[in-house]
Amino acid sequence: MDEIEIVGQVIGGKIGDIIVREKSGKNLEIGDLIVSEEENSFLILQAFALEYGSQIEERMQQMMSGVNLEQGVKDTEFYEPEFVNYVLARVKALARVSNNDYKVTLPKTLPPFFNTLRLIKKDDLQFLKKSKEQIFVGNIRSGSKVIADAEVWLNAEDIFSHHILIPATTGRGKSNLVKTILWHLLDYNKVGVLVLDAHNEYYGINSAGLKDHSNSRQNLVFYTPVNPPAGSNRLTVNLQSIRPEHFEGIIELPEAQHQVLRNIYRTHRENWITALFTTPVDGLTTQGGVQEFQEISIFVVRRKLRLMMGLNIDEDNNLISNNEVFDATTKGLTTVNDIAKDVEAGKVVVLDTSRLGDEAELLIGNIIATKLFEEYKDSKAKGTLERKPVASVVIEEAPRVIGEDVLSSKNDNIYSTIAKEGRKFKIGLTAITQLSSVIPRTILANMNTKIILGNEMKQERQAIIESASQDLSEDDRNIASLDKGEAIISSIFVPFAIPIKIPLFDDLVKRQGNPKQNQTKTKVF
Amino acid sequence: MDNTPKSSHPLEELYEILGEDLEECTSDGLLISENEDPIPLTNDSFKEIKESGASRKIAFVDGGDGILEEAPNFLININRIYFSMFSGKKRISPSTIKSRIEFFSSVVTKILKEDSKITVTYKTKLFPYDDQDRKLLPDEIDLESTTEGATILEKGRINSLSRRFAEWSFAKKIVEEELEEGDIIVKDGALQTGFKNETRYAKELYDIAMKKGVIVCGLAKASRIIELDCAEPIIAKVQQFSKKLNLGKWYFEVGNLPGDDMGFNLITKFHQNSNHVFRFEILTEQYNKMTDAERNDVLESFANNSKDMAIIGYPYGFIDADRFAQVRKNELGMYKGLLISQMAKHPEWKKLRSHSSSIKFHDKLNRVTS
Repeated sequence: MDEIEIVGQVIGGKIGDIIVREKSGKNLEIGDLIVSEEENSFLILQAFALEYGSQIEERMQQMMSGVNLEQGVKDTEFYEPEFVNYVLARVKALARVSNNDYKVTLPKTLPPFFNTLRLIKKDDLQFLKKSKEQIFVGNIRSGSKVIADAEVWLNAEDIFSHHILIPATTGRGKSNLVKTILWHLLDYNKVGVLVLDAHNEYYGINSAGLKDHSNSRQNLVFYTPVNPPAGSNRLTVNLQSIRPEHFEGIIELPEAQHQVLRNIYRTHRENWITALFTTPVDGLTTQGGVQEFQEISIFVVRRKLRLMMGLNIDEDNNLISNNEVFDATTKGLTTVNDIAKDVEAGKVVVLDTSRLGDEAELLIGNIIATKLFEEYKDSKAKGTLERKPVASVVIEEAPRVIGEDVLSSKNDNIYSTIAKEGRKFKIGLTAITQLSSVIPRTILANMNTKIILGNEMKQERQAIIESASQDLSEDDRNIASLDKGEAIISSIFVPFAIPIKIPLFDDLVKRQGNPKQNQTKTKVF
Repeated sequence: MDNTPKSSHPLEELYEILGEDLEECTSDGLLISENEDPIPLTNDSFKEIKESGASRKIAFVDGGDGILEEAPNFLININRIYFSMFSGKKRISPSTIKSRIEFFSSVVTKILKEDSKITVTYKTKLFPYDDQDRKLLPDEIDLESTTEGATILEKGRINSLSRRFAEWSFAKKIVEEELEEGDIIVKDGALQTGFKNETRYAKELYDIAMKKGVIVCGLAKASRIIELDCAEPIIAKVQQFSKKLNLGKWYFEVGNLPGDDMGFNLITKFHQNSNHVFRFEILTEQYNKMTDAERNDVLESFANNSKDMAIIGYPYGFIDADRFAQVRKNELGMYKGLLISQMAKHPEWKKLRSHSSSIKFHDKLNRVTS
């Protein structure tokens, strides 16, 4: 082994917590990937903690410091400081790779005592193979060092059908990551995605975005409520597309009020919302001469729906919507079906919901996701599900719909249904959140791929660590120290928790125009 | 009998009486030998170590040992000898010799009866990890000691026997292989010998060193030498006097001590801010031939290696040597474990344990009472 490459030496520890003395000047970082070369295989290790070591007792060190600081003794120095005082890295083994066939296994032994270690290189990652229909998520990262050409590609169908969680606090690169993932989905038609874009940042109306992908014309569909750019659509949902169950889990309605909605729907079918607002109250409360509801219930549901969808009655007793999305006339009658069909065709459908309130946004998502779920469920019943691409619903601030409090106080909604049952119908949820801890553990554990970005909140890190597919119990500091654009992928589809650096989306867009740079060099899962 | 309770702590009383018993020494000289005049303790006796820019190559040699098993009739030791070289603060890697040798030693007591006269013989055998290391170790035959009558040799002396001899033979090899004219070899401790044959090993070192022009030194961390006038430790007396002077680094010439000490004794202080002074020796034959400038160069070379913040004024080479030569308690546990595993493989050796048990009861008692 080249002397220069050595970064440390194994000097003790135990499985899961191996102690390495750092070679002076090598500046190991938390998250660094390190290799222990052994007879027929090599071990990939990762640093999760760093601490000081010294040959001098602590009290003596304090005394020396005191002499130095307080007395300022001249003509003295620290002899061989790198030899006497050093850094100890605590590392854990991630994977053992066979030298013969690059087969990856979970490590069950320790590296040899006193074995010297080096940083990982591109060549060590030859076991990673890329096949078709994979999405690029980033380059393999060792600490903050990006390993050139070592790219991580994940099987899109696998990860999207088994749900993805993207936990991160603000400013850690969530949007960049989602755009990067969606960008590569546009390469194929194997996964259809419904994206509720609350900040209108993915399509790229005025900046680089998914629209710049060479396949955007075929594989990208964009809906926005106002001034849709050429080739995109106006987001208008006709009130007739809405059914009472679409409100479940979105707004808080006591059972009596739900009953009101269901009864009116039973009577008036797709015109039920118009009927709710335009029919005199007594005509709604009584049916067949029997009073079914209190008037107050009608007034309350009217108020809630009016606020949510901007509904009003004009002078001629016609229902109108002040909201730019909901339409009480004849527009947007096919929007829901159109979107569902596009997703079923493996396209990425981006809905600009930035002008909608929280509940209205969720309602739109609910309507379309419900439609999708029904279609896929139906396909499974008919035995045609295999022919459909995997579908996923991307939802930001996921606890709004799958948070513990929402699910306990309101009825289940389509998002929680997808999280719990979607996998068997090839529908997955891609949940983005700052607060993983408020998502029930059963749902978190079901999200089989987690792309973990930096998070300062210990409680949140703990929730992620406890539900990860790999043992991340020693990675608390590692996650806390993730810089912008750095992430850890924990998934049932990768052999170990992989540290990655997500490229800048703008660079991806620029690279598209340069075929040389666009060549995929390293392979991954 | 006086039953009045004591008002003071017994230690307070101890100190009072000790203070009265220790003589107030007022003499202004050091009486080292009853056959010679006292060495005057005056300002002129102290020589300043001047900045000369000298940083000669110094090889520091130290050893460590530890008992693994012992009985009145046998002893098993682990021994370790280490050396490192520095020029000022710069470490110099050895070119041919390994820095550290480690070996086990056993000493067996044999009784010889001849014409009703009893002699006790201590036969030592050495077991290096690497057989190649034998050439760095003393001959086993030279380690044999004999005492007359049933008196057995002092425990501390037998323990260190193999290590002491090995230090001399290793030092000789270092001079042969690693050092050139003007370089220095320094042993931890005095240039004194205490065993039959040890003097011969020391002399072999001195001969080769003198032939090559390598300076031989010894540095003692502790000295029990007292001056003969009023039993005051000479180092303390010299240090006390030096405080009146405005000297940074200095040395004080004591000279040869009575006995088989081959070194010219100095008391030295290697750093102006240090509180430590040491007994330091240079082979007399070499010291006497040196000019003042050469003496200064040798001592300045040590001073330039004594600026480490860890122990200001103590040569860093010895800090390093102690770090690697020392046999630590936890290491002893490991070696003892290895020894026990060997015993398990050879049940007949259990008799060794039964011999050992005759002196191990104290350990057992300590485990119960501590």
